[in-house]
Amino acid sequence: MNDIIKGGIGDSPKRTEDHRFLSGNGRYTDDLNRPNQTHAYFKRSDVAHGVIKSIDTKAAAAMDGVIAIFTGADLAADNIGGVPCGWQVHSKDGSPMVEPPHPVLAQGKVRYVGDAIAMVIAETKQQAKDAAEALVIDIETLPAVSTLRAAIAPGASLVHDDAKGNVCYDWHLGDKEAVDAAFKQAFKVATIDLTNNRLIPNPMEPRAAIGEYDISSGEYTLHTTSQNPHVIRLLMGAFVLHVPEHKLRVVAPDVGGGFGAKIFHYIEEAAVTWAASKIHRPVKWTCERGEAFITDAHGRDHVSHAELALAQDGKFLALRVNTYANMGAYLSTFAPSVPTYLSATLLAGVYTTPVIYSEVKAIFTNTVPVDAYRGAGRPETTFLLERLVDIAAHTMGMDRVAIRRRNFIPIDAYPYQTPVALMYDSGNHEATLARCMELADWSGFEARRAKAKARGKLRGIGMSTYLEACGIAPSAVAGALGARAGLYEVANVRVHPTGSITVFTGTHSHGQGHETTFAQLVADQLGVPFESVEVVHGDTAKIPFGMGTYGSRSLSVGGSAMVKAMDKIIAKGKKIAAHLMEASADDIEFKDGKFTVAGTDKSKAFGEIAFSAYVPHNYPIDEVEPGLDETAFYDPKNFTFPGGCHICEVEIDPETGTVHLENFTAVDDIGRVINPMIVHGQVHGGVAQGIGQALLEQAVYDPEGQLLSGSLMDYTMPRADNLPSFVVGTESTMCTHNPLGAKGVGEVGAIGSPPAVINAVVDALRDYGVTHIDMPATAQKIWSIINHAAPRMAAE
Amino acid sequence: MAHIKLTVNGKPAHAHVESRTLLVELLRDHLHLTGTHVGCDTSQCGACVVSVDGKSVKSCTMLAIQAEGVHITTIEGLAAADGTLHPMQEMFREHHGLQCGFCTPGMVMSAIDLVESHPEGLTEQQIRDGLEGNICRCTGYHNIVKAIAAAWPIMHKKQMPQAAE
Amino acid sequence: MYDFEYHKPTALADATKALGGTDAKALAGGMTFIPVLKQRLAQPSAVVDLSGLGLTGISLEGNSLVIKAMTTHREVATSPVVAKAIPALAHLAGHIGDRQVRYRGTIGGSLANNDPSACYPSAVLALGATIKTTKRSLKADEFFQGMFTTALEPDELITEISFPIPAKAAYEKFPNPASRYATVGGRRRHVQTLHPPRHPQRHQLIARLAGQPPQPLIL
Ligand SMILES: Cc1cc2nc3c(=O)[nH]c(=O)nc-3n(C[C@H](O)[C@H](O)[C@H](O)COP(=O)(O)OP(=O)(O)OC[C@H]3O[C@@H](n4cnc5c(N)ncnc54)[C@H](O)[C@@H]3O)c2cc1C
Ligand code: FES
Ligand code: FES
Repeated sequence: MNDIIKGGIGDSPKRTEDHRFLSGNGRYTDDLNRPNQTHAYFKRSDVAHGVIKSIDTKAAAAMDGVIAIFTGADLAADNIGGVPCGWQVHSKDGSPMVEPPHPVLAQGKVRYVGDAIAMVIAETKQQAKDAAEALVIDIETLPAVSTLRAAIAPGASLVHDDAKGNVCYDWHLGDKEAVDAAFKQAFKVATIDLTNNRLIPNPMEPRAAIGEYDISSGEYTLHTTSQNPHVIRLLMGAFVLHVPEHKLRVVAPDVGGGFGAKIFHYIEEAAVTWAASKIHRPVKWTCERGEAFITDAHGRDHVSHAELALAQDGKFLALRVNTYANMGAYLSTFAPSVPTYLSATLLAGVYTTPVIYSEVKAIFTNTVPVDAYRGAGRPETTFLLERLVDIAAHTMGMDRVAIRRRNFIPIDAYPYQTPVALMYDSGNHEATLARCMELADWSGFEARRAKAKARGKLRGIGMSTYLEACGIAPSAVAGALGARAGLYEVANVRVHPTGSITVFTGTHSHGQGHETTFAQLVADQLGVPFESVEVVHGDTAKIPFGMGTYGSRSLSVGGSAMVKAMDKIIAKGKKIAAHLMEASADDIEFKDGKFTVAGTDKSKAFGEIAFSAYVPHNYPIDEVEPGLDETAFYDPKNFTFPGGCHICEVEIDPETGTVHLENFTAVDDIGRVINPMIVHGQVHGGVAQGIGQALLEQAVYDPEGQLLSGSLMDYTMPRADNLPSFVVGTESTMCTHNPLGAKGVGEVGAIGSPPAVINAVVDALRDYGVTHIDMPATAQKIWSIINHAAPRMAAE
Repeated sequence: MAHIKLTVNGKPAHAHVESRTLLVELLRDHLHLTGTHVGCDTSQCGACVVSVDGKSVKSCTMLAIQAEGVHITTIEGLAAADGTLHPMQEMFREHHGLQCGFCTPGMVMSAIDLVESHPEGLTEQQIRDGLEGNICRCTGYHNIVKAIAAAWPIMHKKQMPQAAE
Repeated sequence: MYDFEYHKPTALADATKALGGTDAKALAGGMTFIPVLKQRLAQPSAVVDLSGLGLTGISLEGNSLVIKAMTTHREVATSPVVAKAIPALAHLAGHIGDRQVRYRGTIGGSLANNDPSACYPSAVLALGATIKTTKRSLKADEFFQGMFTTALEPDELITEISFPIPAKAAYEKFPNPASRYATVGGRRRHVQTLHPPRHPQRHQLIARLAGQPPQPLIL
């Protein structure tokens, strides 16, 4: 892996997938139409909480084009289960979390605006919609709890009767006594109260699903917008429809962005698949954007209080965190893991804080289920920690950079065991910090601040030095922590007789460019041209059982499986080559696509070996099977730990409170980089989402549980003119426990950036006595800070 | 049902549509040109942008019946018959201006109109402002802006004039 | 969207006649009306497309700038006539929505819709423009009657708007970050105003607006 070969590791060939996307030849789920297809429309609750008194389908059923109308009662009669939760968390007292059933169509009660009550199937989408309006549904409205605060108030209405106080679980991690003792020794304590804003993922492709049923074979097929078709097959087959795997195929074709929202098993997937078997015709459903706002799982929505005990020299002595996490009305697939194992376990960040204690209460509310969104848990922790460190610097009267440096885990302390379970394998925080400060011209900032001031503008700079965990693993540990799935990955490397290669991966690409990156990896390792490698993903009928793509796991886990499979290919190839060249297999070396007898000029090209494997005329048939087709599963030994430094520079117009992003610099340590172009693109996109969270995006519910930010007219998505061009770099240390050294890049941008932005905004407002602003830092918030603080300052 | 005739990607097309059929539905459902996407229901996202008589239009916000007699170019109509990409498409590929590809057709159609209607040159800020009607969730726009700037000299067959500050 | 009958008259009289029927509605650029239809917030029995009426054009008449109802935002934004007579109006039109909205959205549609966060109504009010319809001429303050309501009768169409040319005008918009319509402080509210450029009291203006009902201010 030294020299960069064309199309190999470290090169940036143009993406294989782009021609089809650029010429309109992508095939997304809604682009597909099946013969004799019908259309489904879901009638959803428009109240946040209520008892369904009656559903009268008569008038609707008689309307033009209507084929069938199903309600919860029909599903119950057919013994259809609810959609399951994939992660079980236990409370402090050892009791399992409260896990209410999540019916496919409402059973008796509705619990959020958007909860599906009935499915109308008709010849056309418009007919289904027309008929849905003719349904007569009587709902007795109950009081709703639409925010964390409302849900935990004494006497609050209960979302689920068996979740007392609306608590799903009350969990903790760390050594409480040691932390309490350390706080007694503290020279000073820095504290923060914050809300991590609720977000709506909004991948640009709305979700869609097409269910099909073949009456002759009894086979079901679901085309769906998923990041992990095998996970959907497992959950839907085993828990909802009770269909064995060999009779259920799930295909996730081209998928237009996921960001977590397309990990989860949604009720619509089960509903259309089931309905197809009832009406014996394909059933298609495509989500509208307004519907997506009230049905795609939302992200974040945590309220936290944190305290950091400090020694006189600025060393962190102990950290104590108390968090409430909103679960929404039902537990979405991985929701329970987000505020706990994906969040609290990272509270050490890049610092040597010796003792940490975290408590998390997960709370049900009458809102859309909340689950993983790009970063999942790690942005929450990083925001809390990096804001708290800035506050600590302020409390101690220390420089923000100096306090970070004082507490960094030194490079020679790796591998480093944190007090919150994780063991970091590698990292170099000083290096990413130094490089980022240089690229952002940190030292020249005060001059820029002065210039801005002369123009009447408030300029601020902020940084975050973060670390995150990717590729949840190993499976046994994840299982012990409550995961109800394995977290390995699989690859099948199929070498064809003429030496071209198809790779089948269990990961899924929905923007990440796997067809390119994985082809580079294979081309590099097997010494074949990049163009002769094809990557297949997304169809359970083609690929072996893999876990899909999320948590930045595809290269570190999926790529490692691929390396393992290629190792098997090479080992087998050596035996064949040894036979052909009449040497011992131990003497065969493989390099640059050639099998060579060590110390001689005798060699066979990779293609010759492939041919020989499939046309085994002169072949060691007693020792080696024909064919060159290997599968490997890889269960990682540990998480990987990408990290880095992000620096943001903003300018605020004090007249309007508007924040203008002047510069954004990111230097990330993501381990091995296969394709720098794609890696930079991932950082850009992640940073844009992080900036969106910090400055623009917020899901807002009114007290009755209506989503006020329920359209693109009301929910601010970052647009081109909200963002600057970014400066990005990588400064990598290798992951020490996977064969590639890869750590993951999909989420770093969204994790590292929000605190850098808010730290910059707070810095810009330092003359107004501001120490914290909750996200999003809108013009309105800042304007009122400036205008309420100004008179006070004048009076002082 | 009305019978409408129009020209799509240089070829005559016709269809029977309801009055309520949208142009994007005509393209996707009747003419099977699924490269044009639907990303929203409030005319905000721009995934559906096509060229109608040379102007970029949100095809989700125009009735199919209003397209009688017009010339439409969709993303499928940009590349040459042998697959050679239009310079804008090529620059999106060159500069990694797309990830999931969902916003891409609309983005490319808007970008072509933007470049064509600015023969005097485009600054980065003008490009960013010109993309107000197109939302991308994947790329952070960085590489899209680069791609459009790079396509300008190819499309205008001259160097981009120095941006007037 | 509910289905409807579609008409595309070529004479104004036919258009108003078609609108005289029950529940017929005019369609101009469709940039507001079609999203409304898509979300099933309106159910007209017929839609009368005004694009065949030749209602486009910009001209100077005496000391007035006259813009016909179906003139698009783009045409106003790029018109040399507007740029010379009332540059602030060209600027305003050039910042309505996005490029695609400006190609199709019209001044008549914007005024008839009278969205409190729309741009044109404040210009029409502040400049004291006259709105000419198929039935009469209305002064701006007679025309606008409250959020989304105007003096227009169901079968009455705006045909043109006549702006007296002012000595000086400027338009400043503080967009809602999500919709990009005019707003302030995250709430739907009118802040767009016509006032001398670099008005020293701009922030005070916004401060005053923060507690007030939506209403354009004339400074
Ligand atoms: C993404 C987006 C962003 C936008 N941003 C802005 C913005 O920043 N500022 C802003 O001001 N607007 C904005 N708009 C609205 C835009 O300006 C619309 O074009 C305008 O409000 C309506 O004009 P139209 O020609 O499209 O009318 P239509 O949508 O066709 O019609 C609107 C209403 O007016 C009636 N009508 C139309 N013409 C006439 C007439 N001549 N006589 C009588 N009645 C008539 C119709 O029956 C209908 O009820 C935006 C729209 C979109 C989709
Ligand atoms: S689909 Fe979003 S603007 Fe047309
Ligand atoms: S590339 Fe995915 S939305 Fe733009």
